[in-house]
Amino acid sequence: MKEGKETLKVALIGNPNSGKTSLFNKLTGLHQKVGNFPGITVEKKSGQFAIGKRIVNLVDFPGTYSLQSRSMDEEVAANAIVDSQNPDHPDLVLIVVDASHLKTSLYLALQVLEKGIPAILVLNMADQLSRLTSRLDLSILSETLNVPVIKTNAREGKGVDELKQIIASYSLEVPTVTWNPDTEKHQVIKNILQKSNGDGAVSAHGVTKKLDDILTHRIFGVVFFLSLLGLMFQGIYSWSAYPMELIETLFSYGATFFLDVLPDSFLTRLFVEGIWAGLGGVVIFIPQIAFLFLFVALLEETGYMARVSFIADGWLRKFGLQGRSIVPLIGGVACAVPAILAARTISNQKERLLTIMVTPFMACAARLPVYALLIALVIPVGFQGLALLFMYLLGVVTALGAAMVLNKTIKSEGESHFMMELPDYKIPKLSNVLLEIIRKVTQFVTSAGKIIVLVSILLWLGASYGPADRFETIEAKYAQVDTEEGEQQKNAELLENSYIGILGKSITPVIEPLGYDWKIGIALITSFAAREVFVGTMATIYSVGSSDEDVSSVREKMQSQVNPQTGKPLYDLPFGLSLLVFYAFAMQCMSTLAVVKTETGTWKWPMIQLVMMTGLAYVSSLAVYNLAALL
Amino acid sequence: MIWAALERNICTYFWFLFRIILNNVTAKDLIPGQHAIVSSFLDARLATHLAERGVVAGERLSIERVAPMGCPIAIRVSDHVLCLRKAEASTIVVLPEAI
Repeated sequence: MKEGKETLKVALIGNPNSGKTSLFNKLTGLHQKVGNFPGITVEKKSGQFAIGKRIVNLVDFPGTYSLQSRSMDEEVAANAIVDSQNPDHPDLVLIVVDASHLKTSLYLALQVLEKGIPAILVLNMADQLSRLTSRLDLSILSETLNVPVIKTNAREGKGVDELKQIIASYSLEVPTVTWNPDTEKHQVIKNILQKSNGDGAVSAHGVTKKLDDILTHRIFGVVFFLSLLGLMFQGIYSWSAYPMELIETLFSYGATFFLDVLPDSFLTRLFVEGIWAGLGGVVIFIPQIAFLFLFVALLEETGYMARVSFIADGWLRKFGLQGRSIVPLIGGVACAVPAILAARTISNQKERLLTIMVTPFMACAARLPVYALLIALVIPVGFQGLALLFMYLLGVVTALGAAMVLNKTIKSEGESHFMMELPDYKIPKLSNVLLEIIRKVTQFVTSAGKIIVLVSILLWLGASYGPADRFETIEAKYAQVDTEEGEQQKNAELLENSYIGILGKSITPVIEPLGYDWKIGIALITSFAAREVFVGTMATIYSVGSSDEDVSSVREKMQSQVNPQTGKPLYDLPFGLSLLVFYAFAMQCMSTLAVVKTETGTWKWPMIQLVMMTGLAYVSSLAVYNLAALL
Repeated sequence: MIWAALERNICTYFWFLFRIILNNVTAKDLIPGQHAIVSSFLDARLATHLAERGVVAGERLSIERVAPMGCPIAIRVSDHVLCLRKAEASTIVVLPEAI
């Protein structure tokens, strides 16, 4: 606390779509941070600003319709308001009310006021609505409710300075309740609105209704939505390729630079090959996360997201998912990490969990290089495109199937209801969209990012170190060799004898029934950093140079391998199909596990995911290998 | 409004009348454009949550639109549009305004 200044805890409470977050953005600007409420995974947006003699710590609570809590999100607001011992218990509440929905939103306002907390009623509205509510008598409203009432247009920033002034000078007296709390609240609201001329206030539904006639239409609505999805997918998939390439180049330049400048030591290599590479593995996700949330935030801001849920709910409900699950599922085709973050928009906890659990089945971009290599290796020319399409379909079908099974096995916490407002369409506000992207990116970097860097360091340690005697023998063997080829062979032998190599060999009995040898075993383990590492690992093992992109030469090497027992190609069709299926199903992505952990709040779900997906992969690959070998 | 109900066919019409007498018509049974007055609720817990969103006895509601799969449905009530699944809509007992 600064000298002579008084710190004030202020809470923003309001219905979803009341413009609460717009107001929060306008009040705090960039002085905001996102965290979680203690012990649970509900997002906590907090920020700070100073006004007069007061420093205001503002917390934006999740939107809610009442203090009789239903979902985890809503419980947070209720607990903080009701319990004065709660660390988030506010000194002052800003009740944000959508001026076009006075009748519905005053319900929550009355509940908050009855708790005896100093409050300010913020009538938030869009410009075009001001004429509709111009008859509304603010002074009567303020008198009846016994709290200051102020009009704002948070999206345009109007009335925000006046609101700050009121906060600066507010006496923080507990307002007396002028109505009988035992009467039916809707009767109280009716009386208040009648007195203050607010009962005639209606919103401009005309445009929304016309738009909805098209956008939720049985045919046009679905067509429009699918085209939008196509655009979104294209955006995440191809537009983010440029920044991702740039990040890759920067990080590899950085690595070369550090290796040149710093003395060759354990610490240098730990930094460059472990930490720096791990950081690169975190930063590489940022473009995809940013693009996905650009779309998600736009859909939310315009109000179209509610329509998406409305259209898709009927289909997805059959699988235990709901309308909003569609965005994570589609996003999962690019990358499960941002997609799982996008599952936050699902308010029902069980449906959100199911969505998180099955999204990694979607064929993500990291699987593509592996699919490309294996398909080129074993599928005859002419069927390769079809095979790739099939792999994508396999992902969708498995995700939906898994949701159906999990839906039956996971016990529902609370009732599964679908009650959602269709808000009026709005033109999106760029600053709100950008702030949302910034919030999501920071959250990913600070939560899942840590785990990714840590696992990356462990993988590096395992791959670059092995039993000292074995390493010494190899070093001695290649001491005289300084050709590039010799260097590559040495690296391959080092990897074979590293701890990861030894581990890869030790799991051979387990993976042999699937048709894999120890080399694939090593690749399976290193794939845990990211699936596409498979290609690079195979390249190192077959010592074809360290260029990850050189798929064709890896393929050639793999194709020329001969099974010593049969004399036939080592990597044949049964092997290829088995491995394709394994990569389609297995949970081999530490970043996804990390993000699932942070999103569900416990290691339980990522572990279940790991076992479920990898188990399914094992059984399916076993079946596919043996069936294909019969043919 | 009679034609709206007649659209379904005459049998449904009388069946509908009969159910109104039994106070057995719920928001699920209404067709788009039809107005009704909320009379009671079949699920007490759900009733609280509906009340939070402006669905209370005596309130007028209308079916705004129905999703492509026939579910959920969007109802206009109080001063906004609310989406409900059919299961939830069937807990709201209503009195159709005209038939």
